[in-house]
Amino acid sequence: MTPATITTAVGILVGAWLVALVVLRGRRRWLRATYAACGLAFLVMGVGFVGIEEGFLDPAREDIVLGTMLLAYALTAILVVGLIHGETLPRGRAAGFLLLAPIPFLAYLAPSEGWTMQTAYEGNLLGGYLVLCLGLALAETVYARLTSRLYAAQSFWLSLGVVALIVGGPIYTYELQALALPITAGANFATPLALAAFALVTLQADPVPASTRLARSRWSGPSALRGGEPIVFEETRPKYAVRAATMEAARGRPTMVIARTSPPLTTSGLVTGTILPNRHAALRLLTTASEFLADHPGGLVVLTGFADVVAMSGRLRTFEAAIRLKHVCKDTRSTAVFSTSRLSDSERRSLKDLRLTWWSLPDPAREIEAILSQSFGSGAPHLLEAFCRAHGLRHEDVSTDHVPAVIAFLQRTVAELTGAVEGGAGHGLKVQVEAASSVLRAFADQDASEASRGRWPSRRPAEADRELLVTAAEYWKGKEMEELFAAADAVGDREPLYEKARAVFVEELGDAGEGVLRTQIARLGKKPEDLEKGDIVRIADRASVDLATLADVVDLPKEKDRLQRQVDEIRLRLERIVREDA
Amino acid sequence: MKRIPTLVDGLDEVLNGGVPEGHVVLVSGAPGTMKTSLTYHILHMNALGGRRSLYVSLEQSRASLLDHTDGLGYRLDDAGGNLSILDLGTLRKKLTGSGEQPWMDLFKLYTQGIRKSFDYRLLVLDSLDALEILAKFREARKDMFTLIQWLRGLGCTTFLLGELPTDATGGSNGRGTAYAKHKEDYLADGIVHLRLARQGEFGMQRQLRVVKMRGTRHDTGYHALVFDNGFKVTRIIA
Repeated sequence: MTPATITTAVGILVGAWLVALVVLRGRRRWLRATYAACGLAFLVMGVGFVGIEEGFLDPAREDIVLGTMLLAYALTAILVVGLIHGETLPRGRAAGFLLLAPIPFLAYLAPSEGWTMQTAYEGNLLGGYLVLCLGLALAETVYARLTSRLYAAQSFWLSLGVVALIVGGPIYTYELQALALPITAGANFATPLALAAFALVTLQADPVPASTRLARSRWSGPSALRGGEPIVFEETRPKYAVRAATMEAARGRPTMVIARTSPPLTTSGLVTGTILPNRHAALRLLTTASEFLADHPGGLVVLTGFADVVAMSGRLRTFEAAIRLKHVCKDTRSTAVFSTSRLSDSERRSLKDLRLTWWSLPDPAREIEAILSQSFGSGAPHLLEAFCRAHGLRHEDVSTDHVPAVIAFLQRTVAELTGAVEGGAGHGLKVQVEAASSVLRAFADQDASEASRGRWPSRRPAEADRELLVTAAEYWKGKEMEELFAAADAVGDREPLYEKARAVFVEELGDAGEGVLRTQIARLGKKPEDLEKGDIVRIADRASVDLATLADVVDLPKEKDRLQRQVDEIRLRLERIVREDA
Repeated sequence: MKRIPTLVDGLDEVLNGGVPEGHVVLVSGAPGTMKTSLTYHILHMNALGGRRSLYVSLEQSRASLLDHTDGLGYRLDDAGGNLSILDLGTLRKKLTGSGEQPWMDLFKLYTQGIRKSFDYRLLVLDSLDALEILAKFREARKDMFTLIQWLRGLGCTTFLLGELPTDATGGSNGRGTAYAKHKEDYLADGIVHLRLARQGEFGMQRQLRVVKMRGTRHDTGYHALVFDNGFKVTRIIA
């Protein structure tokens, strides 16, 4: 064997390994297929060269090697363009593959024109086509390098791959010609380097794994979020963004939530993706969202971890990803929601400069407090604080999902006062609670689109309810209001154990968690409202045993570990509740 | 429409290529009609092709099911980790106060949770009747509707095994009768009916009929279901 054939043979092995790696690890179907086709074309080309040189392949088969070379360079251009414009591939895929159209024509002309592997890079139509393919790929990478911050690193590696192919192909052949040495036609020694560079970019930009796969489908139906554009949800916490995702998923719309951390629950029909800490986070965010929307035109992608991506990849890269996602949304009639939660003021201002549709949304905790203020005056924070204590919540975590619980809490509190406050005062109190409940329900029923119109309870002028407050003051003469707050504290102090335990079970086990907790309580012969600290300890013990048994019957080691972690977490959290309560 | 092949000789032709992905299919039949074996075959063969599958058994234990399926030539080890069996039958015995447990919640907890680490595309629930008894359905039709809706939301192709009574002639004839107890045949996207039909003086033949399969042009007649080193669906020769 000659040094040239040995080098090519080693290159074939490396190339085969890279093709296998990308095929097995890549998540973008079309790019994976293009990479595999391109890699295989280079490998066949190499095998052809080694075969002819070593004499186990008929030299007359050189026409096949020539055809494969044409295919390899054309696919290189398509792959490079695809890696840079991956998110718009659904639209441009067909156009990209038009580059393959001249190949049958050139293959047909080759025998009559006398084109061979040795003369492939000469000044003829064939050489022109090969130069066009490599030139197109190089021009695209240079353009991306100059114009895009998002693809700057990737375009470097792509340029390196394409330049290596140019040096290993035409330039090396010209050198051999100039030195009057035999031309190693059919081999490009730079193939492994180029394939490695393309594989690196393919994997760097790979979408993050989705929690579940939905069948590919186009969606069109009634929605609170219009399709064809991204919408920025300006909110301090991504409460409306998450709510919009669950509401749209419940309508049957394909919905994906992309966040920094994995949500504890798996909601049926909702796909989740977790962004890993990496400087390519913005690119992966873009490819994840665009692949999902390409598979589910009309779908919805909610980016609750937008601020995290800005922190990991930088503002400019992330905002470029947002702009590119805007085009994807337009092409697929889909919607993307960016939550501004945890963005700094300057980042918010920069995002606003992108002129995306902007919805300013209220903080539900503040609005609920404002609604309560309209009925209960300055005591509203006290009431909300008692509610939060009773439910083991932080004030800032209160969302519209808690409104039914707030209403139930107010009603229980008023029921407590039935004996203490009599006659007109009692009636007045009930009227006040009913009025507050009605406004709370109306507020909770608003979706993000309605809430963004700005008619928030906290923005209503205080005068509107002054009359109501005077009426309340007349009923209670100031004294009964104090009694209401005391009753709220009492309700809050008595019922937190069940609510806190329920929150633990539901957060760890999903909707099924409440059923599991209720079973444990029933087995103690108690009612939820009668729970005491000692019961929580017993529930922790029993639940640990029962849930560990659940892990026993699973034959998947990963799932066993996950269940075991949940069991440990439930136990720890229940013990913490008991300690805190003490 | 993407279809999941059953990989049963002849059945995919009847189904025009397989079961549409994401469908909830009721497989009903009297005892002995090979509901378990047929659905296990579908899961096993798909698992061999790399499609992840989950078999949830509420009646048979894992060991008993594996004994049964090994005997038919389906070795779990061959599936290369793409087939998982969730043995809720054993859980029933192990769990203290089994009758008081929220079985519907537990079923959902498992099937939803497992997808986080094992993204299965095919699910078999063996059987719907066992789940109904364990979960103590109060309003059976409403609960069944909720369950089927929930399964549809999972996004995988589901086979629900339903028991039908054996008729006086030794088979469940399915003629003019419902294929389920609580009208779940109306709710499911597809129904496959299995029966034992009398053949001649003493013989019995297993037969299969695709009663319904939404979004599919399928043959609606009965076919012979034969097991001979794998399942085959053939025309009935009188």
